[in-house]
Amino acid sequence: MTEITATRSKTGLPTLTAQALSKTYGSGQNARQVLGDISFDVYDHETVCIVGPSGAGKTTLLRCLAGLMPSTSGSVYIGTEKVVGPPRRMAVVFQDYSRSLMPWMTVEANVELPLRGRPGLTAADRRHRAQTALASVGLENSAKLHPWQLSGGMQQRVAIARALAYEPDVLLMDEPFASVDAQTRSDLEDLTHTIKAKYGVTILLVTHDISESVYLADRVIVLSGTPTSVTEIVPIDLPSPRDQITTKSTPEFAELRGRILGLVRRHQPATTSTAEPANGSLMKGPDLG
Amino acid sequence: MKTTLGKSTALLTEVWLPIVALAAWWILSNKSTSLYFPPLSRIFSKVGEVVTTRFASDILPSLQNLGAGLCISVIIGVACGLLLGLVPPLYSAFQPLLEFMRAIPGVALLPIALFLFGIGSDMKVAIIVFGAFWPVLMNTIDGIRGIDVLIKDVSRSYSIKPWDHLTRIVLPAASPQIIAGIRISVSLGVILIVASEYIASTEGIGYIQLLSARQYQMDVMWAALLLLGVLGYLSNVLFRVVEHRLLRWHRGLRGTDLGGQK
Ligand SMILES: Nc1ncnc2c1ncn2[C@@H]1O[C@H](COP(=O)(O)OP(=O)(O)OP(=O)(O)O)[C@@H](O)[C@H]1O
Ligand SMILES: [Mg+2]
Repeated sequence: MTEITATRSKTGLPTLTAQALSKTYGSGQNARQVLGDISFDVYDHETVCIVGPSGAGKTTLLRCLAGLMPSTSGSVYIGTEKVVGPPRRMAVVFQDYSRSLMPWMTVEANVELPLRGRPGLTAADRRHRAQTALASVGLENSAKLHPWQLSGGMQQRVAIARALAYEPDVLLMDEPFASVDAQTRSDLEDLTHTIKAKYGVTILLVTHDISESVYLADRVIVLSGTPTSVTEIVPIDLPSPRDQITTKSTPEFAELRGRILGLVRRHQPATTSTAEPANGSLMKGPDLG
Repeated sequence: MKTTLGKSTALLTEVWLPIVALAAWWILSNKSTSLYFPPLSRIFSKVGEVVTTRFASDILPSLQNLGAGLCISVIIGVACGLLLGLVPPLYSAFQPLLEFMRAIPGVALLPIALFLFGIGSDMKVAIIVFGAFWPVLMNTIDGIRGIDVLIKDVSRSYSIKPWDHLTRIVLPAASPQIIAGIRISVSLGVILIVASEYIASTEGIGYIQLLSARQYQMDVMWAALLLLGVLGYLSNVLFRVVEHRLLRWHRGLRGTDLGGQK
């Protein structure tokens, strides 16, 4: 409780705080430090994007933040509460939508599942909430289908609806649009803006797509290096509401994108002479989007 | 129209060979005077006789013992499988013992089962349970241990209640393997019920077979054999119907996996 005062800022207490997080997989000979000393704050109603190359440890970071995996050192706070397990105030949308939905349940049952057994919520309330959430992602007519009867983009919308129905304060999203086609992807990016406006949820979204991060975020946290650390936190002062065509064609957008790309590139192991061939996955450059 | 046509074609492709085989048997055995291979016509009339006169005394007990044995196998197999599948240290501790015990053929327990349970139904049910619960147990453990970590992450991050986690996530996720295990158990069960009725028994289809063979009533022996075949076949059909309903999602999932995933 005393530590957290250090991270207090003018805008009040952060909603989510990562404090000197590090993560090492394995031990002894096989020890491999993936995250080294990561600190940042996310404030209420903010959308923050984390960008970093493939294999940088973005999923690792997100699992630590979500309380799904203990970090090796450092801590995570949601409000003033230290995260020791998955917090009730947080919902997660996972990278691989086709594996994160239960194929034996209908879309509706998938969305309702996390609400079961919640005190003060009747079956009718659950259904109503699921229907509202599904409607806000445009899937009100697919409630009775199974996930495998839907396209990839629709499945990820079900996962988003499940998160919304859970009514979290913080929504963590791990490369949510990485495996859908370009058109679906921009639709889902706009959907993120819409649900943000409607639900007022704080969003922390991980991506390796720099354009996407600039388009969605209020601030972009750039990760790079081995072990991965925060290179810079770039404020995105583009006006809202944003639009796929006009926002993305402004010179400000191009400038921000170029700047972040430069930050990611500068720390690529590929450009340093000490890079080990074994780190192949880290050498892959980020998408230009 | 098209689907009914498709269905009847499917039925036809499934039944033509058995019909041809029966017809061949009928024709070849028609003039037979051999004691061991009586005409099929006589065997058929004995089937009718066995079914009408010995249904309550022999067929029903066989079915009851088989049903009870399989139900107990499934319940114990799934329950122990859940426990061992969900608690890895327990699995590591028990695994060598389980591998050893399941290597023992179920029928090898007949002598001890006779001693412990006598020659009644208890003994037969015990034999079936001991022989048939292994596939359910092992498949349940495998199914649970194979559950995707991502599914577990989802369950934890959304704080799914333990009971819902068990009944709505763990069991359905493992159900394709559990059902495959039950399918093996059903065929083992049929073998074991007959074997147990061969030993010191006073009732059952296997008992009819043994007794009639001793008395050189080969037609009755063949009739009982046919009945066993039909019994095994019907249990399989029943099983397929249940499986078809329970695993609809699994077929759908695999269908899209093979087809147009982006
Ligand atoms: N459970 C684990 N045990 C050991 N190493 C792991 C484990 N999980 C991840 N790693 C390693 O940590 C590194 C970071 O993995 P992570 O999945 O967090 O990267 P990522 O940034 O999410 O990548 P991507 O963009 O491909 O999703 C990888 O090199 C990976 O091999
Ligand atoms: Mg990842």
